[in-house]
Amino acid sequence: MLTIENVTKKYGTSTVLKELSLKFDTGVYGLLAPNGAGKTTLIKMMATLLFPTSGSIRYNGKDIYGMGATYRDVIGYLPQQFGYYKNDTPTRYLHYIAALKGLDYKKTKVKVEELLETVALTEVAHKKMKRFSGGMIQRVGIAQALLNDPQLLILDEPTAGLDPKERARFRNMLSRLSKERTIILSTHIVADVESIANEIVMIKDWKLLYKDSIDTLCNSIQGEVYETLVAHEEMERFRETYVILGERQENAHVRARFHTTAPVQRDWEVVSPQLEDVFLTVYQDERQ
Amino acid sequence: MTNEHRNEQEIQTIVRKGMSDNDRFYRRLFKLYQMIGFRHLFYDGREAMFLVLSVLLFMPLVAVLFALMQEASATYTVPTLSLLFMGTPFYFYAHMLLFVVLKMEQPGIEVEQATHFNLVQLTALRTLVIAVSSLIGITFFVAFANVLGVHIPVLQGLAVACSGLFLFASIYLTLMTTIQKKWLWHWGFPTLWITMTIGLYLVPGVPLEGIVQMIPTGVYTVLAIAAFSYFYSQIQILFDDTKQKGEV
Repeated sequence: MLTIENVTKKYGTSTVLKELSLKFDTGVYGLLAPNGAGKTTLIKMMATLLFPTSGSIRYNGKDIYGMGATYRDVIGYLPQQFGYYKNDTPTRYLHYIAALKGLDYKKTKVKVEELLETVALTEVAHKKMKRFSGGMIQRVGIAQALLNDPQLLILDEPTAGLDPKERARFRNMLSRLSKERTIILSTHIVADVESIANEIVMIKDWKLLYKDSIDTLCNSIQGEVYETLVAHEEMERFRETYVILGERQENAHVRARFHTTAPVQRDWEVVSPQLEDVFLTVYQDERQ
Repeated sequence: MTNEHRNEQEIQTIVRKGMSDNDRFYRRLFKLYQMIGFRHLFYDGREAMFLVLSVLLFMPLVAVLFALMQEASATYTVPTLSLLFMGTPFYFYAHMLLFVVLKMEQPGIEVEQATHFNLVQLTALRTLVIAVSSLIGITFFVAFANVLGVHIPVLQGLAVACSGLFLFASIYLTLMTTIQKKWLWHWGFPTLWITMTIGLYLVPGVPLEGIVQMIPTGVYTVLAIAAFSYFYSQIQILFDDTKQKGEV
């Protein structure tokens, strides 16, 4: 279990995270927040790349910074901007990372082949990565994170650059892996976590806002999400009055999906809230 | 991680607790070398080739240059010892700089900092290898110089060169382990050393070679040993990941 206890992170006088306390057990956790909310900072602290200004992070009761290599043996980490060696092939790169991870050479050979097949890169295993698309590079990044069969998988925006088919494949793979692992997935794309996360963590104003299941989060705004048809000329005023969650052209009108706590009106249709509705509602002031 | 791997880790933890710090360091250093090997120690073939060629070709070429300079003028004596003291560090620095320049091709280092052996430890091993190759290069230079008629007392030459090399290298590593501002140890300190070197030769009336020659070989030997010991202790600090405070 990974435990974050009262962690604060400051850069000079600027606070990035404040008194954050979280526990992560087996399963998939989605760290959902807009850009600049502190997700990457938290992820990097969990990967021991940054140090908290105060507080502690523990793995099975032991401080992760004191554990050193022992902790790094159990984690697989994919950073937001995955740096790769352009003149390397995926095979060479994965062998290099496996060596840094202290893995046996013979077992690495087999593991690299398996992982390249898992991320569908077998055909380009011996081609230089400078010719790869962004999605292919990202898949190499995912493969390196899985090399040491980690107990704790920390992924920062792992689906960046992946097309919908690749993202679906990635979600299915994570779902399979999560049975015996802790997977922490940082993203601002709701769809990445909606179907696979056991719990969602939301950070706002440097603090923990929610850590709950998707159903519980959606229930928190149950009965407050509506859809209605709005005339084009009234849409501007409508946007100023309500929190718009989505718009779709429908004949001569706009079908607006919105959030409000105001008394329901006759032409409003109550709809079931989705995770994206919660996200947009919670972070509405940051969108403005 | 499989159960077998976890059990192995637990055993290693128990064994490590019973070892001295030095034993742990040597074991870990050896294990890193075993895992990485020359296959991955160098950034790529360019760096490995540069290292080999600089030892086998560059240092003998410098010896040839010294010999030619000496032959060119009967009155002018090449300030061999002072050049050895001030100049040998450049050989070390050139290799460190190459590593930095090559690394800039791939700016992201987060993945390599979150592995069992991280990039800082790999840098420590590389630095040790570069220091060893520098020693081999110095030996080649002194041997070739003597063959070509540039008389350098072997022990004195080696002691002077090693003291300059490890004095520079130990200060360089100290800055690396204690100061977060990379520009200071990447560029600042080496620039200062270069400026000092040029300044000492250009300032008229400074009998640098005379001063260097006056100091007994024994003093240089002691300085070289002390500087090497300090350099080695900095390597140990780089290798101890629980003492690394740098953020990525």
